[in-house]
Amino acid sequence: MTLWQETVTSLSQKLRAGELSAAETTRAFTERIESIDPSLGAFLEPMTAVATERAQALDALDETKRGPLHGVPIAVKDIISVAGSRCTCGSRILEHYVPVYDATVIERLHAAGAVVLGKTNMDEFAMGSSTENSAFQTTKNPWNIDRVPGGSSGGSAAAVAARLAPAALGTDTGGSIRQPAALCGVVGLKPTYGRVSRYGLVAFASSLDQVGPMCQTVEDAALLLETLAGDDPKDATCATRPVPSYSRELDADVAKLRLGIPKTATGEGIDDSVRASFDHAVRLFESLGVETEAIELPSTEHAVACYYLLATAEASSNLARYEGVRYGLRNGATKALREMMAETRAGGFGPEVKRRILLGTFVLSAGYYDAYYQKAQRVRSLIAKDFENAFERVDAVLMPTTPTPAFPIGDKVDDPLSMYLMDIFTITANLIGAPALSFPAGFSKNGLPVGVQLVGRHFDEATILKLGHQFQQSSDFHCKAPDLAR
Amino acid sequence: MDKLDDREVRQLAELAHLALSDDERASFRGQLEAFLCYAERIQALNTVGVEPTSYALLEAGLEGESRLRDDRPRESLDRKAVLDQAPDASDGLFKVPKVLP
Repeated sequence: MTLWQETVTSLSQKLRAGELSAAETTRAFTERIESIDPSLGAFLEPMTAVATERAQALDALDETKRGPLHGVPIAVKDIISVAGSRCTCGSRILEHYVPVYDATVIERLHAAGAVVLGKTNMDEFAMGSSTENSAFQTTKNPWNIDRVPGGSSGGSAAAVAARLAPAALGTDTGGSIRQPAALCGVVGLKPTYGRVSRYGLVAFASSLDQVGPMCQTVEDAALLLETLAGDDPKDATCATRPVPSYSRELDADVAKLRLGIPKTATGEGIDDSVRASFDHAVRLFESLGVETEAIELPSTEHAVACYYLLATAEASSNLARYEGVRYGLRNGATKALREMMAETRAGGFGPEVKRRILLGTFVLSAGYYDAYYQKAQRVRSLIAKDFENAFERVDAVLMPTTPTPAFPIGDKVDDPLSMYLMDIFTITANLIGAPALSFPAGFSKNGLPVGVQLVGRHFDEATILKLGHQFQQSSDFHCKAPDLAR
Repeated sequence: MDKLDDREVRQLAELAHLALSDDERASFRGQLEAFLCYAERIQALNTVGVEPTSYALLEAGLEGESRLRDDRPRESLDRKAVLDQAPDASDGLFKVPKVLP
């Protein structure tokens, strides 16, 4: 196995033991980005010079000062602030914006010894499920370059799948970590709402957004979450409870744990390959001694409608800050204030962002607020109640991550509703604030990866990580890599 | 859901400070209508007596303790560095075009 094929867990052990230097590790990945990424478009901005300098500084550190991620390179979705590097959010309106501070997750990665490799492509302001909504480039799926990598964290998923980075940070508002992870054959974890600080994350829908890791194995996700999670006084929504040692619990007994299987999981509109992989996953868990039982989540058929009403309302409010005054683009500088703002936003935002701002404005406007916004908030409570009832009987819920494998580039760009329906299985975890872990569980006939996800109780990442890890100990889907990474 | 007309889309665009072309308005109108037609299904759900959820963890009783900090002066971001990101600034202030036409 060459260096760039290794997992975070394996790299960190070798780096801490001094068997590998941080500089040679970072170089292995920056060289790979340089040679492979032009055909994939995963990175918006590689940070080769900064990463190299940091790796050299880490090599000069005293052995006793090496952190848990000493010298491990990590790619970062371009919606998370890294001081001194552009943070575009995939948008023209922030094309030249350079944050003056690090996000808390970046501070934590740095404190643990990690090296930020570069910023990855995404759907503009994380709005999309294919990364085609980036204002700058289309990212290709490393398994088949005619297919989308998923979204909105498509650049991060493609980077990990192509082994251009051993791990990446993504963000998940309605599935934006898990859906691209599934479509690219990697692991993606959306932590419990509040588990990870969002200070320095550019906001999309504040009651739903979470930052989380994307990587090759569940073991790596556990290790990374230990670094990322924990209280942050700079984020008022961040949970104060202590962070468990997820890695240490990975091998604990899973026999007798109870897994809920929603009756809708293999229903209408689900691709045969997804159904087959899901059924196989159920049997594999049963072979580990896990007990499965059918559960009903009756309100979840309304989740897509509920989610898009609430997420767009929050987005229309959050994105009001881009008005050509404090940062980013300004168009119509010679016109009056209101016209300048309207022209800046017209020129700076792409079609999907405009569409969602308009929908959110509609949902919040007088006359429609009760019928749409507040109704959706009540439906959100019903969906939460469904899961609350389920979690009285089961320890986690197993679902497909996506209804189909990766679709062709261009297939859904002109049909927003069909794109939104790709999120049908992922958005419930965001609406209820629960943790959810997607991992590879099979392949379609034409060789595209398929994922399944585990949804856990609030703040019980430990259980879904343990289940996911032991699934991977008994399967090899996560060991397969696309041709360009063999 | 009644059909959205162009006047309503124009009004939404104005509320959202978005200058839209005629073509954009026409295509957004159709797409918004298609989504709202799809979203109509939630109206059929009985939500009598169901409280709205704004923050999931608050409703689940998991969080909600006050996160207010003591009101003490402390270091904040460097003003010059922040203003360097502005399209126009002078004398330590953000500059905007004239407010009255």
